[in-house]
Amino acid sequence: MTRPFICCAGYLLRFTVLMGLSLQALIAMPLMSAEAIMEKMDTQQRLVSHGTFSLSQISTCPFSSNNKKIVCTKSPRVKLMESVSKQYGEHKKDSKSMSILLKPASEKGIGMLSYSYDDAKKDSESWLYLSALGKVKRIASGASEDQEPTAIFGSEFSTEDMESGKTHEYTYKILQQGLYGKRQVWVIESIPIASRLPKTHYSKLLFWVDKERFIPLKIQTYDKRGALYKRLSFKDIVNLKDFWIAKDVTVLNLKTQRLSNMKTQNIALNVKVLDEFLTQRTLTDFAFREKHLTQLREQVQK
Amino acid sequence: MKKWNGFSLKVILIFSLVSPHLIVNAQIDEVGYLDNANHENLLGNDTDINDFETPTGVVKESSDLAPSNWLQGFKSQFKHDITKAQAAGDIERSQFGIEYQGSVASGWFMNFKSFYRYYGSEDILAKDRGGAYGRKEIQRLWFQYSQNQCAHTIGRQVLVWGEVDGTFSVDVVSPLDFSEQLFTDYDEVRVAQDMWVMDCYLGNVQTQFFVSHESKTHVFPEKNIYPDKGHEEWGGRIKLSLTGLDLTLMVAQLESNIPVINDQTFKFESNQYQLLGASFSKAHGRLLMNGDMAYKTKQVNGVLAEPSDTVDVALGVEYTLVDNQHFSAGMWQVRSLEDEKNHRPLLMTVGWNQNYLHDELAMSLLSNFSQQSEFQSITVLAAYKLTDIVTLSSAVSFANRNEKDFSELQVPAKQAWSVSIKMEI
Repeated sequence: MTRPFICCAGYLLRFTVLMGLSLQALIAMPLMSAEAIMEKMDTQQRLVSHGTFSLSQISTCPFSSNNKKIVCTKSPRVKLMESVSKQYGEHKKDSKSMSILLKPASEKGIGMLSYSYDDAKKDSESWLYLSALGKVKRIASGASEDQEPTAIFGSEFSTEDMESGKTHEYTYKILQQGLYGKRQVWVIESIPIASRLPKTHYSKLLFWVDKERFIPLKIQTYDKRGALYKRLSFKDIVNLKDFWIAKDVTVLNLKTQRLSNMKTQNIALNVKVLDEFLTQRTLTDFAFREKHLTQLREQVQK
Repeated sequence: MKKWNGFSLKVILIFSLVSPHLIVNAQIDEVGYLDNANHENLLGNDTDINDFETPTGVVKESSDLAPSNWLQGFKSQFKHDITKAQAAGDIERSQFGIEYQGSVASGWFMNFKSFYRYYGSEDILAKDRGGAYGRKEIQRLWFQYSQNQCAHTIGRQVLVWGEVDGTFSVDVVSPLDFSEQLFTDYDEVRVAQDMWVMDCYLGNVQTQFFVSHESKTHVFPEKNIYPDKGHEEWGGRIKLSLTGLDLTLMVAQLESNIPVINDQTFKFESNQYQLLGASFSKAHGRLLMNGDMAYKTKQVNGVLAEPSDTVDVALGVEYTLVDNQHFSAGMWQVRSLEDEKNHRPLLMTVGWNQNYLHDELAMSLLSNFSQQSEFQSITVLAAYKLTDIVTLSSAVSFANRNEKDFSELQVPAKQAWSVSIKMEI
C-alpha cells in the first residue's frame, strides 16, 4: 500500500494563498529593514490561511528550454485538490487543514486532515482516509523540528518552500532595489542560521519582493554547494479582501530539469469554517463534507 | 559601494531613532545597490522575467474540473489481471468498471460501483465452470444522509474496523474475497454487505452502530462451501480521539467469515458469535504504535474442534523515515480459553514501502511468517504510473505454506507472479 501524500496536505494552503499582504502595510514601507519585510510577509501568510477555501491544480513535467522558452518534454502529471484551512491559537500560529484529492482518478477521494503546531517540539497530527481501504488511518509524521523537507505530491514544490513562522531561523539583508519588470522590488538575501541548516536543502535564498504589494515576484534558492537550485515565479497576482494573492506559481528545478506549476483555480479568503469541519468526521461523513464544501464554493471570490 | 558593517549599523541605529525613514535610503547608492558586494545586477530585464512564462499546455484552463460539475463524480476503470500460480489456480481476467460518488442533494451523498468481468479460459473460476464466461456485479451502492451530528449510510457497503493493518482481530465485519488477485488491488478484495450504518460525532467522540440483515462469508475459489443463508449481524463502537492517541471500544454480534462444517449434518454453515474489542493508535514522533484486542465467543478452528471462547491480540508498529520510507511490523495471536485445538499460531508480519521516481514508482515488500505451522511468505510489489491514467503493477510471491491450515495472511500459492494493467479515467 502506498500513501500518496502523507507529507504534504498540511502545506497545501501555503501554496494556494501564497504570501499576501494587506494594503495598510504600504504605509510603513520605507521604514522597513529586510527582517521586518520578511516578518511582515510571514505574518500575513498565516493570516491569509485563516478561514480559507481553495481549489488548486499542481502540474509537473520534465522540461527543456529553447530560446528562453520553457517546454515540457512529457505530458504533465496533474493533481487537483480542494483544501480548507484555519489558524488557531493566541497568535494564530497553529493550523488545521483538510485536503481532498479530486484528480487523478486513481487517487480520487483520498482525504487528509492535518493539525500542525507552532511549538516545534509538539508532534503534528495527521489522519488519512484511503478510499481503497475504506478506513481512516492516523499518520505519525513527527514534530516540525524533526522534519526534513520533502516533495509535495511528487512535485518540485517542497514542504520547506511553504513553511511559515521560521523567519527567526534566517538572517536577511537587502541586496538591491529598483525596477524588476514593471514593479519596484527589493532583492533580499536570506541565509539559514546554523541550527536551521540540517532542516533545509538550501544554503541561500533570494527574494524579489514587490515594494507595493509585499509579495514575492521571484525566488531563487541555492543548494549547499552554492549552486542555483530552484527558481520560483509568481504570476496572476490579484487582490482579494485586502490580501495580495499569487494564483499562479511555477517552480523550475534546475537540478532535475523538472518544473511544477500550481494554479489556484478558485479561492475564498476569510470565510467561516466550522471547527467541526476540520475533524475526522469530514473524512468519512461525505454528505456532511459536501454540504459544507458547497457553502464554501459559493463564497469563492472571482 | 557601501556595505553593512558594525560602524554603519551603529550609525543607522542612531539615525533610526531620529528619522526611521533613513534606515534603507541611507545605504542605497545611485543604482539601487545596497549590500550587494559583487554589484551583480539582480533585477535582470524583461528577458529574464519572460523565461518564467508558464509553459503552454501545462495548465489546463479547466472550469470543467470544478467539483460542482456533477460529471466529476464519475470514474471509469478498465483493467486486466494475470496471475500464474504454482500449486494454485491461475487468474486471467478483464474488467470494465464504473463508479459514481457525489452529492445528490444537500445533505445526501451517493456511492455506486459496478463492473462487468470476463474470466478467460485459463482462469481458475472459468476452469471450475467449464469455460470462459462473463458476469456483472454491483460492488457498492449506498446512500448517505447527514443531519445535525449524525450520518446514516444505507446500502451495500464495506465496514472496516481495527488499527493493525493486515490482521483480523477486530477487522471482521466485512469479509475478504480470496478469488480476487490479492496482490495488486486492495479495493477489490473486500466483500460489501447490505447494511445500515449510523455514525454520530460529538467533538472528539465518534459513535457508530451498524446492522446487517444477512451476513456474508469470505469468498473462496472453491464452490459449494458456503452456508445456505446468512444471519443478522449488528454491532457498535465508540472512538475517542485525543492528542496523539485514538482509542476505540467495540461490541458486536457477528457470523464467522469462515464457514464451518456441522458435524451432524455435514453441511457448511456460519457460526454466530459475540465480540468485545478494543483498539488504539498512538503516535510518538515518527513512530506509530497500534493494537487490536478482541474477546470472541464460540470460535471454531478446524473441522473437528469444539467451539470455544478466544482472545485475539494484534500489535503493530510503523515508522516513517524522513525520506518517507515506511516500515511496519506486527504480530497476531489467537488463544483459546477452553480448547487447545482452537489455538492459532502466532503470525508475524513485516512490511516496507517507498516511492521512487517522483512518486511514479511505488515499491512494497510484505512478509508473513509463523513458526508453529511453518508458514513463511514474501511478496514484492511494484506499481508504476505510466501516466495519470495508466498504472502497471507486478508482484512476485514465494511461500512455504501448510495446505491444511487457513489464515487470512497466507498467500494462495507456493510461487506466484502477477501482472496487472489498469486504466482509470
